[in-house]
Amino acid sequence: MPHLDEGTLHALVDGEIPSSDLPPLQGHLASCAACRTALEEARALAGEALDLVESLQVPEASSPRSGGVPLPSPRASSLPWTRLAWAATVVVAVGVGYGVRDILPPPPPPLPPPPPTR
Amino acid sequence: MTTALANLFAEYHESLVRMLYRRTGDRDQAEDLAQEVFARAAVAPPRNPRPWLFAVALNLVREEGRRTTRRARRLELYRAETDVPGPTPDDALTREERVTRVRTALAAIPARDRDALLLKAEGFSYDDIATTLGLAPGAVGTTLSRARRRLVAAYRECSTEDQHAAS
Repeated sequence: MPHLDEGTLHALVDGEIPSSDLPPLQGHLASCAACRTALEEARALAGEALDLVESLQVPEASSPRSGGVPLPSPRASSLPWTRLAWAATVVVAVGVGYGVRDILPPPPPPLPPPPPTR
Repeated sequence: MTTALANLFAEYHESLVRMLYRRTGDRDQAEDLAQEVFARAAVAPPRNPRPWLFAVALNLVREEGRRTTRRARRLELYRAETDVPGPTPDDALTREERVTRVRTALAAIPARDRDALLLKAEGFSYDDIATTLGLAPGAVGTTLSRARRRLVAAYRECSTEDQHAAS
């Protein structure tokens, strides 16, 4: 039997060889030191590669996407100062209008109607 | 959300986000892509969900590849402008250094190899890897052996370059 190829060695490491296919491979490994060494190298390589990939851990979210920091509600942000400001503006406008009523000259009398045309 | 979709989400969301994060290096992007994957699953419920979800996710990553490449180039330019070489503290790797090297190594190997490694790290069987990546089942062992060798070699190369830069 020829030496086991890399794909077969890694499939062995990953437990992906069907049990029915194992006996000839195990028989070869029992008699071939080179393939046993290659199998151990494949096992180490697979472990090292997995360690590298698994070192990339998903970081914790820096800012939750929902429900974390509640946004101020429009109702809460508009009370009480915004409403008070609007009320004050209206009161001032009405007061000024009432106050200047006596200061300003009276409006001119209405113009006489134009003479009738022939 | 239907019960079936809720079950899919509960079973695969965490694994999908993890794989996407490892693939993209961006947690928010990983979350967004995962959302898109589940949105597509809601429209067309898959029969074989695990390979389907991960295949769609990897396709979405590839669709964004050009944009990501542009961002990465800008980032590399920024790094080149801002990096100030200096002595490294002792000879112990910080976690951040290791993560950076792993990312660089993953980016250096072919996409097919990278995807196979990421799927294997999520516990995929050879059959599922073959289905997800469109490989012949008999080719998965060879793909993984090559991918592992390339990843470890690229990682060691990054480490050597960093040591040379530090000395």
